[in-house]
Amino acid sequence: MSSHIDKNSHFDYNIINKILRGKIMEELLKILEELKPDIDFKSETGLIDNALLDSFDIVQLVGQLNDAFDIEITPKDIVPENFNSAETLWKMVQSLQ
Amino acid sequence: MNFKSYSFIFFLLISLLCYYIAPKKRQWICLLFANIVFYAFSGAVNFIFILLTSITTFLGAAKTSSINLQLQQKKSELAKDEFKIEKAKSTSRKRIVLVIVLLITLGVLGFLKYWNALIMFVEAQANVGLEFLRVGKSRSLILPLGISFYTFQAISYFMDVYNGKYENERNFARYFLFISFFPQLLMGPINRYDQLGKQLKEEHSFDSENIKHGIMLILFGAMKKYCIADLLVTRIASVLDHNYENLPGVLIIFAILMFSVYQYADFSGGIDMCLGFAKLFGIDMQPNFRQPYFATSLADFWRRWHISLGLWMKDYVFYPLALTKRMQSISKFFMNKKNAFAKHLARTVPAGIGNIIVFLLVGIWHGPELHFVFWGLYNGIVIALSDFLKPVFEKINAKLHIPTKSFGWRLFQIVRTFIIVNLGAYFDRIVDVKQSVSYLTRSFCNFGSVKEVFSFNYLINVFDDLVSAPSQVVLICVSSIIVFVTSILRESKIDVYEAIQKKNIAFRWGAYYLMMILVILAQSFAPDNPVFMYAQY
Repeated sequence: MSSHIDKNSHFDYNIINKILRGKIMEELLKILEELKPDIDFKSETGLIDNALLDSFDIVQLVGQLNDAFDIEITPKDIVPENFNSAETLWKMVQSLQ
Repeated sequence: MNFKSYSFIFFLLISLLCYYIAPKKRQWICLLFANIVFYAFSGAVNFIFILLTSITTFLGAAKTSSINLQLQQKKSELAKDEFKIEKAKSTSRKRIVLVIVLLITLGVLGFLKYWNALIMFVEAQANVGLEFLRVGKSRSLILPLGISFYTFQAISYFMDVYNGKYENERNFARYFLFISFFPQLLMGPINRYDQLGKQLKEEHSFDSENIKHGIMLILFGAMKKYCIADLLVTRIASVLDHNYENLPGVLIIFAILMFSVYQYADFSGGIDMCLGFAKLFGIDMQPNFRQPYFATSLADFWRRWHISLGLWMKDYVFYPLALTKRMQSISKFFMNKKNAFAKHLARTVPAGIGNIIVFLLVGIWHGPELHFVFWGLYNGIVIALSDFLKPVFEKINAKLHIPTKSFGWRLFQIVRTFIIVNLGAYFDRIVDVKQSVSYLTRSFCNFGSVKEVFSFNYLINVFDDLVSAPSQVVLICVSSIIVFVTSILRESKIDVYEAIQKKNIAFRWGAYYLMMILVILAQSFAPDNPVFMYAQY
């Protein structure tokens, strides 16, 4: 019986995780699309390397991410590895939460 | 050491010889010794300053690193709330170290660069004599070689360790090698420890490819410096160093355009030579220029000009400033208003203020003179305004059906940016603000006759000597065309060096010889003691 519960809770955990991940990503994409409507954030992986986001965009984005996810992004977090794609941004948000 | 002097060439050859015949594990010691010899030539007293900055940042980084480490160790032992308290304690201890390090390093730089100018300013304002407070007689003291560049480099290392970006260096001699690396000392670029420091630790085998590439960079840089910059510098001074009454605008514009060519040729040429010297040792430094005159906006220009300074300012001044709670609260204030204009202000106001402050600092960094303050503010305000007015420009473009993706539009943007940069150059090059304004006004309101100004009799009055002018004009034009074509190729993502290497032997050697001959020819007209405009910063 107990093993059955464990299995179920593991199953639930994965689903919750997926939902949470989806929620964060959804919110993140909404913020990004509002910031720069002409960029396809779902596929773009060179937001910094291809100079699609400038420093003014990043300052605005950081402010909005801080508010939306209740995190504190500091200057040390502003590196291309964190800001190059929606996926890397999502990972940074997760690590700061 | 002058790059053209026999002592420098001898120093370079001996350093390279020792570097490549030494056991690989000892190569870095050879390079360190070379740095010390190079630095000693600029005056032994200067060692005090570079050592003080190096020791301060080295010890500061070691201290903050140990605080970071202690905190990490406690992370697993403490509960979340306790860890938060401990983290706050660590942060305040680190901040004390930060303040001490910045006070000492920036204090030395600020004292040497601005102290006398500050005293003179107070004297002039209060009409009192404070000569006893001045050090020496001149407005700014003779600065130790490369003080701005190594100070910025040392601060970037300290800040990165402070922020936990990488581990601190345990060996002071190795750290000092990074700070005193001689190719960067004269005019930068401002290197980062995680890029240059890593390479300085690696073993470098002799590779003829590095030598070929290094020589090509040195020759290309030398051509820019000696065939363009050095031949233009006195001509520009003849027009812009004196405040002539009734000087026609066309001549002023001509001098400002020469200045634009001069400063790019001088600074990027010098940087190319420095990158070439480093390449001879198998080391790649950060590029400092990316075809700046092909920029499509002033902000874009500053991403392509003096790149290492721009990145330094962005990482260590702009973001820390724009992301402060105060700045963020300005943003939040506008965000809460919920209308589109307020949202636009939420974006532009904090970043714009941060940007203006950065450019003000860049201006002051260029020197303790009012015209640099104006020049810095001009750049900061234009960039902030262009971001602020972006929606307006976009609407105008849409209404006028301007094809913004077309080549013609891009060309227009490039020309527009070039004009904006040149308007700033009036305040950059002309040392008196009143003269800048007067020359700028005359450029538009008193253009004069092109035919009259470019006549022999008029030009001989302005430049005194025109005997060798035709030969110099040919040298300047040939070299400028080479630089222009190279820039177009680079802008089209073509690696010019690689492209030359793929050509046949005659073309390859022709490229080396052409630049060498141009540099040798230019020596007949070059000033006796050429200096680089960014050498004493």
